[in-house]
Parts: sequence; C-alpha cells; structure tokens
Amino acid sequence: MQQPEVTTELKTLQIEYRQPLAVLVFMKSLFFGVQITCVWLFSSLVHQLIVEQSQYSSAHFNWFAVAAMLWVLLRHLAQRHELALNRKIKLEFQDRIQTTLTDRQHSLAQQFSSFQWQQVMLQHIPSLADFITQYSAQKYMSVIVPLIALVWIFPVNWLITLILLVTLPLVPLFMVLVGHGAANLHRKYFIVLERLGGLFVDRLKALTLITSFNQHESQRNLLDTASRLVNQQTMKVVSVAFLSTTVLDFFATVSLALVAVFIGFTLLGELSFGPELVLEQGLFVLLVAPLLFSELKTLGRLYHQKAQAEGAWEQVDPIVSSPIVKKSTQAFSGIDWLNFKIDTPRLTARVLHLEKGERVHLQGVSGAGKSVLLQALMGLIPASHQLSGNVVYLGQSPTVLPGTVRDNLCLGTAYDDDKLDEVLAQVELTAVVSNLSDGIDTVLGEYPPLSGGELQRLMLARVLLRSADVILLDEPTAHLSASQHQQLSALVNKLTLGKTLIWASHKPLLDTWFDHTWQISDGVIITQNDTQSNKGANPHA
Amino acid sequence: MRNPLLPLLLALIHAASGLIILLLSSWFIAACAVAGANFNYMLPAVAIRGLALLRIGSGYADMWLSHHQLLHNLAQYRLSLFQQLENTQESLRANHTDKLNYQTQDLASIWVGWINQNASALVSLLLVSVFVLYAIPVYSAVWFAFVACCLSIYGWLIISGIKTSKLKLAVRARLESEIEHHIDSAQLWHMREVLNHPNCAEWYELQNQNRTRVELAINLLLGCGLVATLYTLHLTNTLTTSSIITPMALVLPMALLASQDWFGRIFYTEERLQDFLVSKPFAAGKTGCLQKRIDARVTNLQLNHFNVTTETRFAIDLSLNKPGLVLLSGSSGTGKTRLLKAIAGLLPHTGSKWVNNRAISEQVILDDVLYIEQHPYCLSGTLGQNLQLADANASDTLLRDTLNKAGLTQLVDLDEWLGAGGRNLSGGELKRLGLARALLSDKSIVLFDEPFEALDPENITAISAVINQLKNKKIVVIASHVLPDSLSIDANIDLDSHSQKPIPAPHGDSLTHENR
Repeated sequence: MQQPEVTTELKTLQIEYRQPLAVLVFMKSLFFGVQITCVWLFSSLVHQLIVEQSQYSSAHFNWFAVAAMLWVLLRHLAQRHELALNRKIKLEFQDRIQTTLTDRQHSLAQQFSSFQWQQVMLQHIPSLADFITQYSAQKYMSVIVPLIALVWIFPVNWLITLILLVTLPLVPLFMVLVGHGAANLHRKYFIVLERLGGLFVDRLKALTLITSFNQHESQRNLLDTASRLVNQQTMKVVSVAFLSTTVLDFFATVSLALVAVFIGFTLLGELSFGPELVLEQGLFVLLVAPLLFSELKTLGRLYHQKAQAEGAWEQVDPIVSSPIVKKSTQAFSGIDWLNFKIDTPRLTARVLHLEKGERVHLQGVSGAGKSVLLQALMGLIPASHQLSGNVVYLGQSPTVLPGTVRDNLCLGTAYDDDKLDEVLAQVELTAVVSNLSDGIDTVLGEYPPLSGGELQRLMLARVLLRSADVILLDEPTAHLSASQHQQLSALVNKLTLGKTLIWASHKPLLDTWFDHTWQISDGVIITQNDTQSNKGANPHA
Repeated sequence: MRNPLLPLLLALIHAASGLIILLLSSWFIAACAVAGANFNYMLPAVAIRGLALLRIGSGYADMWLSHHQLLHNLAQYRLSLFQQLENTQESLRANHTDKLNYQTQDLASIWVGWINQNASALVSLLLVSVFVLYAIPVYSAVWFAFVACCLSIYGWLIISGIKTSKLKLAVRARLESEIEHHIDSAQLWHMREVLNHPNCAEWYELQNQNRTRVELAINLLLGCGLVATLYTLHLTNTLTTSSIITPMALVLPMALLASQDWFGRIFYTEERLQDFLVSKPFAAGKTGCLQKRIDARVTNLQLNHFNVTTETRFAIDLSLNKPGLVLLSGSSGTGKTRLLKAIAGLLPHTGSKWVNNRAISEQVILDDVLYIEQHPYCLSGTLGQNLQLADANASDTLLRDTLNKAGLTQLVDLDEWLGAGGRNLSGGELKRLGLARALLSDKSIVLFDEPFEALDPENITAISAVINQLKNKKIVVIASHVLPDSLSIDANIDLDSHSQKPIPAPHGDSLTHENR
C-alpha cells in the first residue's frame, strides 16, 4: 500500500547518485562490449580450426589474447569503481545521519530504540548503498546489454535478431504478469502471513510472561500450528512467484536450444530461409543469445536489495531529511518573545518572557508537551525561537554511563579533584561516593550500586559542574517516591538559586521558588507572573 | 528434518543439463557445419530440446521442493529453539530476538543457499573431467591444470571467508554495544565539548572487503579460464598439421570460456556459508538452561536477608503466609523489578528463602507465584489467547466478566487480534491486561511491578480498588514508587531508606515483618 511512495522516493536517491552510477554503467557496458568482441574472435578461431581445418591466423589469436586481457582488466576496474562508490555512499549517509544527530540530539535519538539505531547504522545504510551500486546499476545493464548484443547480432543474421527482438519483450511481460499473480495471492493470505509469520519473534519477546504463567507447552503447540499454516500458504504464494524465475529460465534455455537447432539445420542446409550461415556466425550467435537473458537473471538475484532498500529508506529518510536547526551562539540575556510557535507537535504562546536569573515552573499533564517545549528551547527541534547561550538539561531518569563516577561527572572534560569533591559535597553524595569500593573511580556498570535518588543527585552534580546560563529540568523527580521527591526538589532549589531555570514538573513544588508559571494546556502556553515576579528581575543591575 | 537429497538431486540435474545443453549445442552446430552425408542430425537435435525441457522442469521442481524443505526446517529449528529456551530466566532483548530469528534462517537456508549450488558446480566440474578423460584425453593436462586453479581459488575464498567472518562478528558486536550506550546517553550529548558518534566505517570496510574477495576470485577464475581457452586453441592449432580436427575439439574451450557461469556463480553464495558457520553455535547451543520448578501450592513464603545476586546494597526480610497486601516502595533504579523476579524464582537470589518451611538455596521457579511485568506483554494473538494464558479453561463468560472487573470494557470481541498486525493497546490498557490475567489466575501469590506508573489519578484509583479486593483472597506484593491513597496497604517496605515500617493492618497479624 505504501510501496509506490517509497519507490518514488528511492528514485530521488538514485538521481542523487546519477553521475557516478552513469560512470559505473558505462564501465560495465564497455567490459561487456569487450566480452562480445572476445566471443567473436573465439568463433572465428574455431571456424578456422574446425571448418577450414587449417591453422588459424596468428593475428586473430593475438587479438583474442589482447581482448581477453582487456576483458579481465575492465571487469576488475568496473568492480573497483563499484566498491569505491559503495563505500562513498555508506560514509556519506553515516555522515548525514551523524550531522542530524549532532543537531537534534536526544530529541531525535530517543525517537527510536537503540536496537533501531543499530539497524540504521549497520544494516540500513549498507542496504541503501547496495541498492544504488548493485541493483540500480543492474537494472540499467539488463536493458543495455540485450541492446548491445542485438546490435552485434544484426549484421550477422537479421532473421535471428528479428526473432529475438520479438521474444525479448515477452520476458518482462510474463514476469510482470507472474509478479501480479503472486502479489494477489500474497494479498489474499496477507493477514495470516503478517500475523502468524511474526509469532516466533513475538513469543521470544514474551518469554518472561510465558515462563511466569508456565505456558511453554501450550505456546509451543500454538507455534507449531501457526508455522504449519504459514508454510502452507507461503508455499502457495511462492509456487506462483517461482514461475517468474522459470519464465526467465524457459526463455534462456529454449532460445539456446532453438537457436542451436536452427543454426545446425541451416548449416546442414535442411532449412533454407534466412541469410546464409557459416560456423563462425552460428557459434557467435549461440554464445551471445544467452547473454540477452543473463543480465535479467542477475537482476532477479539482486531483487531482494530493492525490498531491503525500501524498508531502509522508510527509516532513514525521515532522519536525513529533517531540517537542521541553526544554533544561536550569543550569550543568554533573557528572552522576550512574541508569538512563539512549534509546528509539530503544535505548541504556541502569545508571549514568553524571562529575565536572566528568573525561575519558571513549567506545568501541564503528562503528554501536554513539556518535554517538547524544553527541546525547542534547546534548539533541538524547529521552533520560532530558541534560547541562546550555554543551556544544560536534566531529564526524568538518570542517564548513567557504564564507566566510573568520575567519567560520569566529567563526560570527557577535565575537571580537577577539588572541583569534583565540591559538587559531590553540594549534592550531599560525599559519604555515599567515599563508601564505594574505589571511591570516585568506582565503575558503575550495568547495575549501579546507588539508589534512584542518589543517581539523580549525581546527575544534578553533573549539571552543576557545567556553569550554564540556563538550566532546564524535565521532571527530574518523576520516578522518585514522594519523600525522595521532596528531598531532591529542595536540594535542586537550594543549589540553583540565582540561576535562570525552567523546571517542568507535575509533582507539587513550592510556589515561592518561582518567578513565573508557564502552564501548557491544549497546545497553548499560558504564562502567569507570580507576586514577587520582580524578585530577581535584574540581578546584574 | 525433511530429506534434503531430492532437492539436491534436482539441483544437480538442473545444473548439469544446463552445462550439457551448452556443450552439446556447440558440438552440434560444429558437427553440422562439417557434416558428411551420413550425419544423424535428428538425435542430437531431439536431445537438445529434451534437455531444455528437463532443465526447465527440474529448475522449477528444485525451487519448489527446496523452499518447502527450507520452510519445514525453519519451523523445526524455531520450535526446538523455543523449547530450549523454556524457563530462561532473563528476558531477551530486542536485538537478541531479532538475531535468533535471522540465525534460524541462516541455519535452515544452508541447503538451498549453499550446499545445493556448490554441489552442482562441483559435479559439473566432475562431469567435464570425465568427458575430457574419455573423449578428448589429449587436452587432459590443460583441463586438470584449470581444475586445480578452480579448486585453489575456491578453497582460498572459503578459508579466508571464515577468517573474516569471525572478525566481522567481533566488529559488529563491538559497534552494537557502542551504539547502544551512545544512544542511551543521548541526553548527555549537549554537555560534551566534543561529540563523537560511533564510527561504523570499519564495519562498512569489512563488508566491502568481503565483496572485493569474491569479485577477485571471480576475476581470477575468468583469467584462468581465458588463459586455458587460449592454450587449448593453441594446442588444437598445433594438431592441425598432424590430424583432422573434429567438432569435439570445440567442447573444451566452450566449457572453459563459460566457466564463470557454471562455476564462478557459486562464489557469490560463499557469504551464506559464513552466515551459517557464525549462526550455528548461537542458535544450536542454547541447551542446559532448563530451570527447576516447584509446582506445590505456596502457603508460606519466608524471606530472610533476601536479595538478588547482582544487588549487594540492601536485603529484605518478608514473611508471606496469609492474604494481604505488601508494598515495596522505592524510587526507580532501586532494583525493585529484579527483586520481585527473584522472589518468583525468575532470577537467582542471596540470603534465605523458605517455601512451606523448606529452605530453597538455588534458583527455582515457583509455579504458585505470579509475576506481573511492569509493562505487561501483549501477545500477538487474539484477546482470548492473551487472557487464557492465565486460565486455559476459562469460559467466555468468565473472560468477559474479568475484562469488566479489570476495567477493559472497551475490549469486547474475544477473537479480536491484538499486538503485531492487529490492535495495539495503550500503556494503561496493558496494565489492565496484566491485572485481568492476575484475576483469572488461581495462583496464591501475585507480584505486581509498578502497576500505577504513568497512569492518571482516575486509573490509579480504579486499579487500586481492584487490587484491594484481590488482596482479600491472595497474597499480593506491589513494587511501586507511587503510593496511592486509595490502596489499603498492610505492610510497607521502603527500599529507599532501607527500612521496613509496619503499618497497623486491619487484618491483625496477617503479615509479619521484622526490622533487621
């Protein structure tokens, strides 16, 4: 249903690489031309040896040797060009995806699971490259090669050329008909194939559930029945789909057999219509005729690349085609925005006002768009305005790197021990960290030996280390129990006093901590100034 | 496993008939060109047409039977794998299940993808060898030199392929883990001075190396074939002075010139062999993880200084012997999920565990303890199948009743398909599905993992009410960081402060708990 759309978009991808693709197709055509020359010289040599029973002309033999060398050489060069192009496409796509990731950061990264990202980087990108360098090139070759072959055969024997010319379009015609038949059958069984085909992976994912209910046996029987049904119906579909290959096989084999018999009988003089033939010409036609179909066969072998590329493009296209948001480089000096707007998902505000050093409580039910607003403010998704200066963000659940406590605080920037000790003391983790086996150099690993609240305080320390102009907090206490929420909130409030802060939370926070309240409901941000709104209006005055 | 020999035989016939048509046709036209009066041309002409039909027929039959066999084997591999994974303690991750899916495919497709084709090519090589030895022994030397080249190239390709496949596996595993950690820490990227994304260039390079090797092998074969063709022609040329050149002399150069088609073709299948060899130890070696189960009713479950083995920070004491509700409260990240799984025996534990006054030291799954996941899994299947997991014999009326009780009134059609390829349930609906399964189940102890997370207040109240009823009949343990007012809790173990506070329970001493 969606397929035509993806296919047209894949065409834009082909257009992007039209030039190197054209070079590749030209090189391949050239080596095919040399291949045909070789066949012609070969036929001539054989004719001299067998029919004339004489020694061949050594010039012919030498030319054959030269053409053979050229054949191997050109094939090698075309292949090298293809692989270089393949490599180039892969690296370019990696680069495009990484550029987008650097720009959109977690707003993009979190849209897909890490498993999907693994697939994008390790499977989808190579699929796209293979599609262009192999499938697309082969598609051109399967048209060009028969044409070159026919042009060569024509002066040799116009009758055989004519016959081939008439039968050649039949091949794609039959293949299309068979393809439609198979597609119709597939559609007929679509629901069963779609639902039951994925059952194995589904039940693997559900292993904990199945174990917990002790239902292994019943699920195994279910899988057995389902796979029987799927196999039965798949066989019905492929029985028709295989006809497509058989059609090709039929034409390739029958044309060889019939051409052989026709040539043989003409040589014998049993058949007298058509132009005169000698062995040289007959052998040449016999060797070239199968080449008309061999490129189509190769295309069939590569056909899966098209399906893979369509799947890959569906995933990769939204990533690489998302617009790059230009980052502001100015220092933060407060905002005074009119008609703030985010397009997708739609979020608007008539006025957004925030002075340096002021604090905002961002409210709204789950899913109202608090996280979206914070991402837009960071310049990670397109919006009418974005914050300038150094903005630091703290999310809901602790993000722990598998390295040491120090690695987690520094993130590649060098901070001296005094500085690290100072922030750990600020977030009241000094005792906890010194109790760890290796202190600040303890490896946290997959199951960090810290509680949820402690981890979140470590994350807070990480934020405090980076002297930010603006701090954005996205429900940092969402996963904490009520008492931990109170403790951590008070600590956050204490440590960020005097800093510009936007704090999203739907858990209760004290009103006195804030200068403004921004409330999101139904896609609109409504701002209210608190009573002491002028409290920190101009701390640097 | 279905007998793979018939499709193999058909593949051999398909390949051999193709090669024989080519050689016979070329001989035939050469013979026609030099034919004397008594040349019987009808027999070879009929043979050529017969072989053509044989090739087409055997080709289709081979494809059909091979795929029939492939699908059959795939189903068998998957079923036996599923059986081997019975009672595995750890749930599989998305990339792991996906891998098992592909690995079973790699295993099942070895016949159609590699064995049949490679065997065909080797048999073709053998056929021509026999022909050369008996019909045209004068060319034996050049032919067998060519055979030696073919086999060396083939051997080199396979051996070097196995080497790279190991390297590929290692590089891929490394990149997968790099990407996973990198994406999981996306929220930190903006704090880094230099942001380096994992670089997959090495992986791409390895893929290209593989193709370079295959293409090099094909080019080498082409080169050898052409040199051998040239030499054969040269040899024939020297023979013209001493003897008559028969049409038979055409057969060998034809075979050499076309060697790419009937032998070089299999070089492309070499990656299948790599995939097979890499997949085999993974998909086939998943035995020996069968966990023990205790199927007795659990009337008394005692946990002393109990914890999951991977967790060392704190341990709990808990005694479950009468219906009631125990809350394990604590922030996310305190290991509540793994603690619950350890109680059910889905993970190994430390400390002591007494079931009906019998000490359990190793990991044993307790049949009578039901663990409801944080995100209850909705099977790809009908609504009825999803519920009957808890009670296979439940009547439709009971299932509908339970759906109503659990607040899933919007789901009415028990035959409606849920999950992949059907209706997807929302987070709240999934929580209620878990609840419905717990209501249907006859197990004595139910462990709920975060049943209130990410729900709105009305949903929380509704689910609390159902759980409040359930705890009158069963022992219910809830792990949650949300503490709804509407929930009537008999005991609360606060994992954040590592302390256990008894709450005066209306049921008297239904639950005992000691501070350690």
